Amino acid sequence: MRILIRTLEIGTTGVAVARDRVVDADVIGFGRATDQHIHCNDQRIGLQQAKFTRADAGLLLSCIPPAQAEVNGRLCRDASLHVGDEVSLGPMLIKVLEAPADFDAAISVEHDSREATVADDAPLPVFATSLEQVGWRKRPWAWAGVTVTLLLGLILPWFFVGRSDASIAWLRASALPSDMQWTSGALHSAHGNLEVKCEGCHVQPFRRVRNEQCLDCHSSTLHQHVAADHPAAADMTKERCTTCHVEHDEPSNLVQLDTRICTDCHTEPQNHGAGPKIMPATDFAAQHPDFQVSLLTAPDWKVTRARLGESPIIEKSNLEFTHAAHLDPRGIKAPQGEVVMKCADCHSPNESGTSFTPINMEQHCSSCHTLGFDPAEPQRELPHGEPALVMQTLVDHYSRRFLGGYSDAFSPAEGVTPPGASLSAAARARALGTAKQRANQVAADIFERRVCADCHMVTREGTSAEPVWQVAPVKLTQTFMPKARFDHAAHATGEATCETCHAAATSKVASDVLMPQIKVCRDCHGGEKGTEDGRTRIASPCASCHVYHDQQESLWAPVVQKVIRQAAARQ
Amino acid sequence: MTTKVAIAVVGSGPGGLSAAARAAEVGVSHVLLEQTAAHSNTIQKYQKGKHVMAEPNILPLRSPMRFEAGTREKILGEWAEGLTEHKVNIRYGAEVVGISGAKGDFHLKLQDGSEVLAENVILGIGLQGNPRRLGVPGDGLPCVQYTLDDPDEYKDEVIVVVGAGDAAIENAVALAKQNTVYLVNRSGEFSRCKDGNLALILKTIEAGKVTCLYSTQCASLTETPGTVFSLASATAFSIGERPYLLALNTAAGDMQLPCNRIIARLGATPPRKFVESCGIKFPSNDPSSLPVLSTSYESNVPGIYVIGALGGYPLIKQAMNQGYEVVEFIRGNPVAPADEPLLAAKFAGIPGYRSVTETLQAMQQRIPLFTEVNPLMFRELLLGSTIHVLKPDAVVFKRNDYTNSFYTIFNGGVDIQIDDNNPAKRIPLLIGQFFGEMGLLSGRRRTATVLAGKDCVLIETPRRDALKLLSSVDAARAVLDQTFIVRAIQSGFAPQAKTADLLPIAAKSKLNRYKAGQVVFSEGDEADALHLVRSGSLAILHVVGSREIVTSYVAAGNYVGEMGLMGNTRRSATVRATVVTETISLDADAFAELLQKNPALRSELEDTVRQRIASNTRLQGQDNAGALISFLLKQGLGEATDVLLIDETLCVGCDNCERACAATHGGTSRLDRAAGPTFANVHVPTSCRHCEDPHCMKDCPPDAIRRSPNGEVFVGDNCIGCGNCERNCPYGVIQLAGPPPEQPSLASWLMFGSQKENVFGEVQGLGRKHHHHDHGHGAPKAMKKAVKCDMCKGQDGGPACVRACPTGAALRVSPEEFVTFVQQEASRF
Amino acid sequence: MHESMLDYAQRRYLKIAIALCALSIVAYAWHDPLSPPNGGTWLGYTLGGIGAALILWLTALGVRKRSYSSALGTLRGWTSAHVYLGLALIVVATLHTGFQFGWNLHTLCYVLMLFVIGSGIFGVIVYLRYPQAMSANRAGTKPDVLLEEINDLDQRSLRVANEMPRRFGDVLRANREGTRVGGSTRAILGGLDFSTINLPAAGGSQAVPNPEQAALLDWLGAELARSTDGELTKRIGDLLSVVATRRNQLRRLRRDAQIRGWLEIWLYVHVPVTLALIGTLIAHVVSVFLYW
Repeated sequence: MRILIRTLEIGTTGVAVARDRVVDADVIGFGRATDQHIHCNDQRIGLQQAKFTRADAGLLLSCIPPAQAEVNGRLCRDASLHVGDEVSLGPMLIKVLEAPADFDAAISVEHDSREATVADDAPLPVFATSLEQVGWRKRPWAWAGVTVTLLLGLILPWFFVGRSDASIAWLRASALPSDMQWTSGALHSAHGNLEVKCEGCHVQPFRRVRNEQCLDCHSSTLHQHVAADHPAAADMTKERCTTCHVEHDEPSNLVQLDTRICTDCHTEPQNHGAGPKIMPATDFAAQHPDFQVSLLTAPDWKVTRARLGESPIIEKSNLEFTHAAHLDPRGIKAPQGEVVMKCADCHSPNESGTSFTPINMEQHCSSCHTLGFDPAEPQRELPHGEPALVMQTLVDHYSRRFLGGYSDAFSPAEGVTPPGASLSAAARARALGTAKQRANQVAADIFERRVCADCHMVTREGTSAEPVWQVAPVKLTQTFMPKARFDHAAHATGEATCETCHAAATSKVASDVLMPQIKVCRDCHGGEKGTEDGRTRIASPCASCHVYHDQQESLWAPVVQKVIRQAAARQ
Repeated sequence: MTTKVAIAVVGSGPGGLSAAARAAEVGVSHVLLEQTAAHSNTIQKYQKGKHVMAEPNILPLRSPMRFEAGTREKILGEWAEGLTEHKVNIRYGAEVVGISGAKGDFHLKLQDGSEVLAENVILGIGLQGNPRRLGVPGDGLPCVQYTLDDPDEYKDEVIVVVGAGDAAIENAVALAKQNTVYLVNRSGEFSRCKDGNLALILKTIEAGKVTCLYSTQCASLTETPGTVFSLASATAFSIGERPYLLALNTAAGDMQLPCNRIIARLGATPPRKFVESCGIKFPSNDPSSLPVLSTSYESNVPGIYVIGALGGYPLIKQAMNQGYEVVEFIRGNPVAPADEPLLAAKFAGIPGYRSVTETLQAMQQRIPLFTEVNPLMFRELLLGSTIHVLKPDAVVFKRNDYTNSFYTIFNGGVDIQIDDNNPAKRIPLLIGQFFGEMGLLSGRRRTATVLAGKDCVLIETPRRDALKLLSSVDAARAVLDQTFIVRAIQSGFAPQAKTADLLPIAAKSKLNRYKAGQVVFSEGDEADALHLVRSGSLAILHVVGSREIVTSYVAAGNYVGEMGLMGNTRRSATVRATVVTETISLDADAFAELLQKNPALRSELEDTVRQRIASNTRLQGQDNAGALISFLLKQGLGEATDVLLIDETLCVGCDNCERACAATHGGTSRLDRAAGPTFANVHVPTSCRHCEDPHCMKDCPPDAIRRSPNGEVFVGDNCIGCGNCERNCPYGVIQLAGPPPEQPSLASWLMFGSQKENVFGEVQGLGRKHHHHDHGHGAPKAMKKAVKCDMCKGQDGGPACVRACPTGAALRVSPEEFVTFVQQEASRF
Repeated sequence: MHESMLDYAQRRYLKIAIALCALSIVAYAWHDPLSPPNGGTWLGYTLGGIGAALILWLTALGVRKRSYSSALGTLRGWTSAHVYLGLALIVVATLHTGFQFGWNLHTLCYVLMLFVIGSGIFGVIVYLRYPQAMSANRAGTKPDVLLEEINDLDQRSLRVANEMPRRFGDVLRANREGTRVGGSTRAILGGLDFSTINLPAAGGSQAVPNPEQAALLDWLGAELARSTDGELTKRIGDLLSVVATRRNQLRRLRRDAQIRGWLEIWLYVHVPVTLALIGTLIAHVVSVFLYW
């Protein structure tokens, strides 16, 4: 259709300006979009709000939902319009005019800028539609967050720590957060029972716990890995207790079983000031030197170390002894008759069961090896002591006999003075002489042939008239392997017997050392992991046998053993 | 019988006064003939208390008469004194009706029949003699007047001032005090007035005191009632008090303007008859043309000198200088014009420079574009211009620069590189030719790189001055248009084509102007022409069913319609202007000839055609892409070079972009994220498009809006806050902002926040008006300046808005990426 | 060009984050300290250092976000990195703990960190999910425009009501006053409508809840049923349709507020807890070395 559109812009000054446009279109669009024929730049108006189409009698108005128009004061979507009708669309007032000649329609679109935007007689409430408007804030909470955490988490405890032990104690007692919140983990049970005193170990702020704090308690029992004068001692003292013994840790474990604490140095011991004799050791199964034994050897009983498996080792203890004979399964003669001896007859475990009580004549030998010398009086025995004492005993014995000191039934023909008979001086002298002779005979006999010589090495000196005997002193090695821990009790399990490790039955001489070699242990004991060449053995980290703080009765030797057993059990 | 004087000065305008005074000063016998009863009639007719300017400021005054900027009264007073002081021999009421005789013996016939004998005659009669008339039916009505003595006479009237000159502006502003004033401006901007006045009028318009109707022409004037048809329903515009109805054709359509009074200030036509009767010739019949003068202001009639407005010089100071100079010429001692030293300084660098006059002459001889130009106007043109003496291969400007000045070659030549990939490919331009007109006309990026040739001397003329030249010298414009066409063809697709071959096409081609949305040609039309887009841009669309689907768009400097010319004789698509667009259509036959002459060109064309088809089909697949394009074109992407888009599927509305913008631009955000339309997932926030031909640049009095070489359109510090750009911007992305409130430092913000956030109560709820760029803030009196997006020019890392977007919703899209972007987006909804 | 912060630069930061996690895990697996792994071993300190550095850097986003003139990468890049490295932090920090937790400051620090990261994850989800819903709901307009529309509708209905018995105008005004959008956290996030309206009742009037304009619509319906005068009936019909439109616009307003609420809410947790975390982190680091 051909429609004439007159726009009346009524300016603020009240002056109206009319623009006439001729539009040829079937549909006249009204809206905010610039391509609309009737363009109304008002945000409230949709891009296309309404359209006018031609109707037989005038125009047809149709609004695009949800838009609505007010036609002659009546709200509606669609309306057919006739000359004189007034449509208010948003701010626009559209009047239908008389169409001039050769026009299908004519409308005037009035926009009066003077028209105040409708009066609010009931103002809308102000809507709080953003979180900020309903009181949400970041900054205050952020401040709170940072201050509270810093204050309670750090400053408060620190302040009290910095002052006196009393004050910090008070804080700990109080409900306030104290420095206890800083503990990263529980103390080990071993330390747990000490009443909690952080400052006990953490003496100086920002300084790591020093060895002194540990030694305060442990110095008495603690032994260093090497002697203070050892060339490696420097390295050792550098080490910090806490390197190996980590507290507040979970799982808490003060005993350091890790092989590396040894292998760090013992892989290349010489690089760490060890002497040439110390051989490298990395793992019991993989690399570990043959065992060494400490021997006491006559005459000066200096401890010498000898490596098993190398050239046969002689222990010179000056003792004449053969395990084989004693352990003869057919039994051996004893005063009580035939007896079959067991190891335990002589080797009795000490109270910890780890080792054995020392061997001695009185306890372990004398039951068989009696010291009788006079068949006439077999119950008389010689003392087990110095040869001189032995001589003295003999002389006394025979003097009394020949002076008639005894009232027994010896034939006088022997020239023995009958009891009670009084002798002349000459006769006494003779009698004493004989006694002396007799004593010497007997001495020669027991020293050199019968009693002492059974076990001891005896040498004769002096004149034939006045002979003197020397008995070589005897010392037995109590601990052959002092550098390692070995618990016999722990090994007395299953079919394991002494024989399993100690070849006593075949040992004919006392000089034999019956310590087992490493291969014996390795039958059951693996390395750190315990699984080598397919076989699973008992995992045996260094600490199974060795203790860093080396000492026989080291405070923690038993502890170590316990832990080891637990570890093994876990496996 | 009267004695003969050496000099007869006709007209006691500034020029005449000055001339006579000089003559008197040096004791030359003279007479000053003034037709009215008072000297300098024109100035007398100025409105009361008018502030008279002393333009151009750089020019020194040389005249026995005093003159500096001041009120009309003050100046007239000074001149009156001057007259008595120098004992100037002035005759009032002596209107010269004819001049006869020759140098040395002129007879000046006066109204009263008496005669004046003179050896030389100086015509200082100005142009006011007979003002140019409205020239519409009904301009005889009493409500039309051509002068305005006292604006205060009128009150509460609706007054239409017609014209865009200084007089019109001054009247309009003065009248606006007590009346509703409409200013009817034939063109789209104010290009022929003094800067001072430009600022003045724009301020007044901004203030809403004057309503300016741009590119509007008067159609008819009638006494109401009795307009086009009965205004039965139009009582709304209280016609009663407005006895006249002025019909206007505006860009937006016809309009009826009821009014009381029309003041036409359309300049004036020279009193041509009289002048011609003296034997003085005019170059053309163009009513605006002026007599041809020598540099000594001597007309083709020896002995008759023309100065002042009639001599082409409307400015008072110039005229006074001329008056002085001309007397000197007559006395036979040639003085250099006052601007001589200024020009001399400019020219000094030119090799073989001898004198200003020679150089100027040489320029006008060598450069065809300037030959027509009146020497004096030419002087002024050069005062504005810069002279470049360049070494060979020095770069004049680069392709894609946004500089928009205009170059003419005074000596040597330049080479134009059309193809960057192939620097060898050059079009030589020789002495006398010009270039850069593309920038001048369409304000677009430079389409080619220009290198100086051998001993090259260039004249660089700023856009404003060049436009002024074009608007006043039609000949120049014609030359320019033709060259533009040839260049466009050459750079467009026929670099080898010889200018000679192209001239016939250029001759046959015609210039078309399209309103926004107007159809250039539609699908199925006879393909009769190729269109070169000279300014603006075109949308190419296909009609599918009842819907139009935009498939592509063509920016200025490119051409459209070649498909039609490539044999298939029907248009395969409809083309429609997206903004006001100028194209030059090349006649098909002439074009066919060109193709025959140049087979290489044919193949090139086939290439471009293939590409065009390809890109079209790419988009035709997805018609929502078309919808998106047309949406975006509606948002002005047609003329955009870089626009900020927001991907709604990513935008979380944190407004960080706005804050970033504000923070990086003195506290005022140049963009309003939430505002602006959304289509599918693409949101076009209110932010600058950096138009190829920025509307905001159109009339910026201090020329403060500039385009950086990288293309950002930015507002310089010399903004006077006239608000003109804000009004000119069709996208409402420019605002006038006063100094923004103190921003807390970042540190203190992080710690304590800003006022608003601390005072809980102050957090506003939905429903209370609160806007991101509230013009109100800052001291109310503080000077507001225009602010707009400058694409964070001079900040590394690119635009802050994009850099500050945490989610990647903010994108900047330039025409190059345009199609890709649309495809990608379209494929997602 | 459509590239969310997660896809930034071919997910560069995702790759980096994964690399970081992998590296930490490998190191942790390979590392075999004398005592059980914890923050105190060299690896523990390293991971802890990385973690702390990460936390501080992640927090720095808040600063970077507001140093607008900074050319230090795009904010999108930062956010992308923030998200991915923030997630990587979970791995790094957990390995730092050596899985030793307890009722102490250090574990609190860890928990806070997890909380912050958790809220962050929530944030990422809403950021990816809601914007679309929001623009769909807004359909090109803005809340305050919707509000203006509602104003407009109200004016329109009031104008209609002017030609009707007085009670209509009163009810409409009451409705206008009683209309609520948001107003409380619950209302905003739940998109709930706590509007009320004063309806004429036996002996004066009484306020009744008016969610979704239901009460008003009922009332108008009743009036419609009761009305016998054709003119009045028409007008009530008009009112009904206006109120219906009004209801829809209000719905959109609420929906908008709701979405914006969800888009914002997490930040109100994320940020303060982050600061709390920073405090705890400092306490953690200092205390650890205070009692070294």
